[in-house]
Amino acid sequence: MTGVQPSARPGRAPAPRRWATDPLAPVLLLTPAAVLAAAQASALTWAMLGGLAGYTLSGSV
Amino acid sequence: MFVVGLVVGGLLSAVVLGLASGLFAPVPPVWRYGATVLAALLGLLRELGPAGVPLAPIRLPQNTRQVPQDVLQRSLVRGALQFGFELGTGVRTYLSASAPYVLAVAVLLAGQRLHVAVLAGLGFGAGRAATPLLRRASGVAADWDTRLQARLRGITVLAGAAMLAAFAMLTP
Repeated sequence: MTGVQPSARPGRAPAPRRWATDPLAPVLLLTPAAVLAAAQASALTWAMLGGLAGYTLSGSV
Repeated sequence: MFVVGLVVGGLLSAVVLGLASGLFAPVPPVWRYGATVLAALLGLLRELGPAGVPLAPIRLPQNTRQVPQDVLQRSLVRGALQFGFELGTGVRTYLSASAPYVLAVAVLLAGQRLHVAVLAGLGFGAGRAATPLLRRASGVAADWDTRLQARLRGITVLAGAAMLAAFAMLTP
C-alpha cells in the first residue's frame, strides 16, 4: 500500500534509525575524516584517531 | 556521568603520555616518525589474518582486571563516574584491539606536544563513549549487540588502516 510506512520487524529498529546507529557508522565517518585531516596536517587528526582507537574497544569492559 | 568519566579518564591517560613524551623528545623526529608508522603497521597486521590468526601475533600488555561491579552499588552517580573514569584511562579494562596501543605509542613519540595528547585523549574518551550512546540510540540493544559482534573485526581493521595511513602522512 502506498504512503504507509512498513513497520519495523519485532526486535529491530526502523531502517533509517538502524542505519544511523549501526556499529560501523562511527568508523565509516571517522576513517576518511582522519585521513583527510592528516593530509592537511591538521591537529584534529589526533582527536579523530583517538576516537577511532577508543571505539575499537567497543564490547570491552 | 559515565560518559564524563570516560572522557576525563581518556584525557588523563593521554596527558600522562604527553608529559612522558619528553623522554623521547631528543630522538630525531624522523626516527620517531618511523617508529610510529611501524607501530601502526604492526597494529594493523595484528588485526588482520585468516580465521582469527593474526599476521603479527604480538602479545601486548594489559591489566586483565575489570572495574568491580560494587562500584555502582555504593553510589549510582559517583559509581558511574568512577566506572567511566577507570574504563577511560584504559588501565583497568580489557584492551581487545591494537589501536589504543598504537595511539599511546604515537602520543609518546609526538615530540612533547601537549595539545596533541589532549586532543588524542579527548577523542579516545569520546570514542569509548560512542559505544553506549550509539547502543542506546539504536533503541534495540540486543539487536545492536549482535550487529556489533558481527562488525567488530571490520571496525578494528578499518581503524588500524586509518591509523597507518594517517600517521604515514603526518611526516615530521
